[in-house]
Amino acid sequence: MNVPFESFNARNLRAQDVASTFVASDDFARVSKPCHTIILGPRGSGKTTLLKMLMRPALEVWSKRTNKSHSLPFTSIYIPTDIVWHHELLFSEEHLQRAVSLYQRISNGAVTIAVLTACVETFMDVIEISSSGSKADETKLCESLIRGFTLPATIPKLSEIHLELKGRMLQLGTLLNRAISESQPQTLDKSLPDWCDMNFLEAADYCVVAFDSTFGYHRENRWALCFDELELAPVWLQRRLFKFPRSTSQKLFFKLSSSPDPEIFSLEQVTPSDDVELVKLWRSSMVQRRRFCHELTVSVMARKGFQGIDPHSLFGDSDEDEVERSSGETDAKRYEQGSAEWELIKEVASWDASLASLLRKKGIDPAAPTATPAQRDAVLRKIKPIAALRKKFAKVGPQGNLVRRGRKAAVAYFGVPAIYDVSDGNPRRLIRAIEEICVVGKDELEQGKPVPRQLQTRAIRTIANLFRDYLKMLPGSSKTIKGTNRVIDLYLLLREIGRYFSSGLLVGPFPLDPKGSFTVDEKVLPEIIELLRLASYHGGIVKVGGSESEFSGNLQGRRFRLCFTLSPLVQLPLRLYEPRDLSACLANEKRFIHERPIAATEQLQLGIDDARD
Amino acid sequence: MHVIESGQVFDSQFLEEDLTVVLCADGYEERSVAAASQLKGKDISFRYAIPFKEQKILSRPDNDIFFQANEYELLPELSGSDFDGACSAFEKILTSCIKRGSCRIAIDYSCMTRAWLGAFINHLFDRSSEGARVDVFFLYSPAAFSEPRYPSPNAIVTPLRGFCSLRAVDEPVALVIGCGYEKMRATGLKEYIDPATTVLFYTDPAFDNRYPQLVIENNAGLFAEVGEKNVVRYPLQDMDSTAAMLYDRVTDLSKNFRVILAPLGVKPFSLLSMLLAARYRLADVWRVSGETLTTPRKGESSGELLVYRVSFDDNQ
Repeated sequence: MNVPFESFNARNLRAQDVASTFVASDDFARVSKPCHTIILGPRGSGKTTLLKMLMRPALEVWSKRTNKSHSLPFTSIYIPTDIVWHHELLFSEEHLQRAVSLYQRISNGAVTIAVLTACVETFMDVIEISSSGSKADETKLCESLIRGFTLPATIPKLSEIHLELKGRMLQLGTLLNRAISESQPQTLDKSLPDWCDMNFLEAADYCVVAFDSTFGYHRENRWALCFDELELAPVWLQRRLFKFPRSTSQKLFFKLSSSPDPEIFSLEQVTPSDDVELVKLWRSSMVQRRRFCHELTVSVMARKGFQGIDPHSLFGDSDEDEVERSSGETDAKRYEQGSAEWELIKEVASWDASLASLLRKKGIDPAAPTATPAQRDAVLRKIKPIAALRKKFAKVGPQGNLVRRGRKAAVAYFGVPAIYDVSDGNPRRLIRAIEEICVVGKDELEQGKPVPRQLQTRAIRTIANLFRDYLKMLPGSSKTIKGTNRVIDLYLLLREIGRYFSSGLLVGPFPLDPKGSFTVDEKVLPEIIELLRLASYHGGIVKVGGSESEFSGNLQGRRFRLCFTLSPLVQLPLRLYEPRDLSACLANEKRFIHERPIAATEQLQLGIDDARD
Repeated sequence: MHVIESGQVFDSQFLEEDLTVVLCADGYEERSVAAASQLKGKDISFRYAIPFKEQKILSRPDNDIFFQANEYELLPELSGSDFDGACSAFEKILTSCIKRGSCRIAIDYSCMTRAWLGAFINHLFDRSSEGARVDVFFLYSPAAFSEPRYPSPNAIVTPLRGFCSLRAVDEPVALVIGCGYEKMRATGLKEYIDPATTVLFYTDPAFDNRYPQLVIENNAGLFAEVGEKNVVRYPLQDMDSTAAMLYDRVTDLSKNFRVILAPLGVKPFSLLSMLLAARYRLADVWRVSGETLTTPRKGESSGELLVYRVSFDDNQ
């Protein structure tokens, strides 16, 4: 029985628990620098893990676990956001359109409370861990905070202040509900407490200055405000933070995590400077990411009871034509007459007329594809992986043209590199894949035997199917083309892109330079661009190229590939190929655009669907 | 107003009850008139039906004729999403009822949207009873079995108006789903919200046992994932037990979590979720709807009637 996709989220874990299974990556080293940082990545790519690992309790546990000190030259304050909060604030904004300033004040109040609550929680952690300061110090700090937050008479304990702040959030919720039900909500503007107008940055600044002065820290002691999942925060907050405002005391800097293509980047000029580190948590090529995947796999396997096991011994290697290799082929003998490669090309050329024709054009005899060193490098090396794929997945159909074999035509997507690559380096997906393999290969694993390729393939297909279902059910994954009754479905769109490339590789005229990625060109509909943004956020497509310091939320002109997790569903190898304009890939609209019945359109717009159950 | 008491009333007993007002929804489903048909010969002072502004198809023309022929006052048409309109219509009915001193209202919510039902419940909790006792009978006629539709995205995922609060974002989220029989709907929601914990409610037995079979089949992966202790089976026909089960779970969860109630399945579970949220303010209620790419169904009544009474006054 398959369990749904995504079953692990660092957001729901305490920092200490995140640290107990943390696998460090190069990304963490960059996030740990004492400077402004933007972390961009799709859902499940480990943004929250990285930010939570900056927290004192996490560093403590990690240090103990590794017998190595992992301290940082700053203290991190973790400020979460989540989809529930996002919808609550969005809902408020929609229902308070008649009272924009009231909404803005409520929204500011909510953010300020969230920031102050995070400050207080961090102070509690730091005091507990460092065992520094006395009760009197805590009392003194609390008195400063009570004054600064204009709290009513409160017992000067951090836990009490924490409670008071929670009470303020509830108060805000009550006011919000009242405002929504009022015919003239703007009249409530005067009833809002003054703290709704507090500047969250100044308030945070005040908190850390109070803490440092109370506990005798150096005045240059620095603090990082870590805003997680910023794409879910109110737009005004995103705009403000991406400008990296300076705090009055210079004690604060920001660590911001967001989606791969924050819309705010398209709206405003965001200028990275030398003191901003940009960390992108996606990999167009997986080769460099495999080391991290390996360590994570070892860690997950150990948690499953398979301690000290090398994944290679259990899962073996992948078919070399299906995954990228870290270095190119150097063995010239591989293409000599009688070699496996020579035989392969000869065999495929015997039934694939387009390959035979291509070889002839390049001066190579298809019946005996022996080549000069130059021909070998320029032609045969390029041809070979595609020929291998065609041998597996294509055949000559009744009309004499090439057609696809059924999905079960050959075992594929097995072995260590393929397992890692199918996850796209996304920790949540990799954990899920390893867990699935542990389920299907339980018997073999318990006996210390390798997991058969068929079982690995089955597990990977399961992961692909679950991810497909996940994409299919996403809110916003279906868009009506403006002014029409025509609807585009996200999954069908991605499937069409995959099928286009897959057809080119498998059954079209034999490509010497195969295409397998796409550039979002000007002819692409805006609705498709919106769907691609959603796909990018959820990891359905992966950005390719662009410099490390490039900031842009604009998708037009950008190059992407389909995520490797979907590859088994469209019979694509786990490799990066050359780009093609997206509009050219989407010529067959019938495959991903459909008409919506008029009655159903009304039903959706008017929300009447839920009348019937 | 505050709740004095609440509980299920068996249909035979309900038909003996004195009623001042009956309020129905006039929509395209055949069962729009199911409860009204059972109340045909009864002496009820005021009979109202709120017609939907949209979807005047299928049984709607017949329902219009039925309501007019049976002396129902057809109130101004309302859109299914019109919370304010529903609230205002209900306020007028309730105010005139309270002024007369006797307030025993039957609301047939079988064909109402959650926006209308939410508006009525909100209004009941927001207003004063002006010294009177208000008895509300919520009536539900289950639909005859129909196959679930092909899965479609969770097009609408949003807090339900009147049931949305603002809680501290550092608290983890608990998602309580009233599972429906549509494939992937609950799974998609759970993955989208990505809560710290999930509790699934599903009805078994139901009016038609094909429903629970499909609920289990189409949510099998999710049931396995959340584990047995987080799957709660409730008897739809026993609303008192269901209300108690829901109350126990939600009060327990609310100590450590922000609780979101997402009633996707049968509407009586939505009713109980809204009543619980309005009464105790321990949870928010969210609305989740899929896209429907096929034409609406006729929605025939199964013939049964499920009645839940809630009595209000101003004393806490």
